[in-house]
Amino acid sequence: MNWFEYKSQVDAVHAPDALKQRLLAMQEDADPTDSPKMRTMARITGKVHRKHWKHWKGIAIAACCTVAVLVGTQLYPYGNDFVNYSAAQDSFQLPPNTLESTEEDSNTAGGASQSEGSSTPSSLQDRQLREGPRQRMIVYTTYLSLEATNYDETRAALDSAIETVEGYVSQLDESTQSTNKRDLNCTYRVPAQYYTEFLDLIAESGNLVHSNETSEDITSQYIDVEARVNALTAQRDQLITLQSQATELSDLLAIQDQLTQVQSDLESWQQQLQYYADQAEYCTVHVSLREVDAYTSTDSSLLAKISTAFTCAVKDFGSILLSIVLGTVHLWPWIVIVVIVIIWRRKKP
Amino acid sequence: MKNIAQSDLFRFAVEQYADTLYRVALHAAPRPHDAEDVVQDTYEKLLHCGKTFTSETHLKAWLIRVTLNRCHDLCRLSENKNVPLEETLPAPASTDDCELLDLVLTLPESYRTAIYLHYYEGYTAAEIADMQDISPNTVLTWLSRGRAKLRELLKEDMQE
Repeated sequence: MNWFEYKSQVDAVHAPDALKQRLLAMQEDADPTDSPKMRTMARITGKVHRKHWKHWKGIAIAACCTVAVLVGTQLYPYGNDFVNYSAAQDSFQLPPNTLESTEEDSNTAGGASQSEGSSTPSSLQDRQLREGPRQRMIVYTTYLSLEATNYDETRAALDSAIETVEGYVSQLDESTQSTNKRDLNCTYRVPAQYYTEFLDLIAESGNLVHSNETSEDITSQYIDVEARVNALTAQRDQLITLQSQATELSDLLAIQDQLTQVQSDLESWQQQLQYYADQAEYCTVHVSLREVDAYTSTDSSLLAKISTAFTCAVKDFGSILLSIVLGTVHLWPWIVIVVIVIIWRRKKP
Repeated sequence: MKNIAQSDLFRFAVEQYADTLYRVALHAAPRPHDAEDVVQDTYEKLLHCGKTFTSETHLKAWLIRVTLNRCHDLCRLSENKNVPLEETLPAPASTDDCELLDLVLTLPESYRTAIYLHYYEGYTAAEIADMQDISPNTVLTWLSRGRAKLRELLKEDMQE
């Protein structure tokens, strides 16, 4: 290829003289103040100002919100108390008729109902005992939630407490979470005379965060069942007497059939009676124990809440990171396969 | 370049590089009569940009780059983009013996631009790639294909 020829041919090409004259004339007619650069500078300046305002607007809004929260907290200090009052109500709920029936019985039985005004909170059983001895069948059920920084020590304290009060474990469920924290859900049957003592031992073993105590008066049901049992027992005795006096075969068979039916009903009601007696003799305490790094704070001040929220955020962030790492490790066979496939496809021509 | 005032810079650019830009526009523009408009647009941009140049090489490269960008814009806006190649042939130069130049101007726009900038202006493939924001391999491909196409055209011309 003869590029010299090409070059010489291109050298012969020139811009028309008219074009050059027009270009030189452009310079004389041009306005130095009106240029794309000047317009661009104006746009950039405007953008900078708007950017600064947007930056400060966000900060101003955040500052206003912070001031509003602080002022609101100071103006309405009883808001926290209301929340705590509601929580306290939720944690200590009684059947609606329990206290009323207790008060009515104290009036009808003529027992003393003067409270000594003890400074320490007590169970329902304590209050009823202070009001005087009664021949009532009360079933007590309590739900307790505990926190423990030393799980093993608290666990041992619970076992020791149940042995002390001569109770027994009805149900036990122990597990370890993915965060390596242990949980315990246990149901204890405690003799009624050691019920209050057992609750005190439980409260001392860990940090009590939730308590729900209920009582059910089964006296009327017990009396009713007892009456049925007595009636069926009397009926059975009469049938036995009649059976001994019967002479006719048909009478004997009829009496035998009725006796069988009575005996079956009697056993059923006796079991029910035994169940009521067992429920009243032993109280049920459900305990939920959770292993924690730090106890739940009960401080209701704003600073404490902020501190708690910050700490929880850090913990949650760490938990999420740990979960991501563990999840990645868990998927390592699939990751190896994907990497091998990618490398193979890249090397493939 | 630092000692030249803005007004003198423009006159210097017109006197020194008007022909060069016209040749570039002739090779890169979709139609030959677009070359003058492209050159005029380029100098108008130089007049209003207020840019400072460190050397003549810098100024020349900037002018060529602006010219090529403007030609690319015209190619995109051209309504005759899909017309067969024969209808976009530029008019022959004023000289009588210009066969090779005519053949070059019949090549596709990217090939003839690369050939002009490399074989006439002496730019390397890397410099041409930097002007047009493409890779050097693309420039080398255009040069190779442009030469192959020219050989074919020359063979056909000789056979005729």
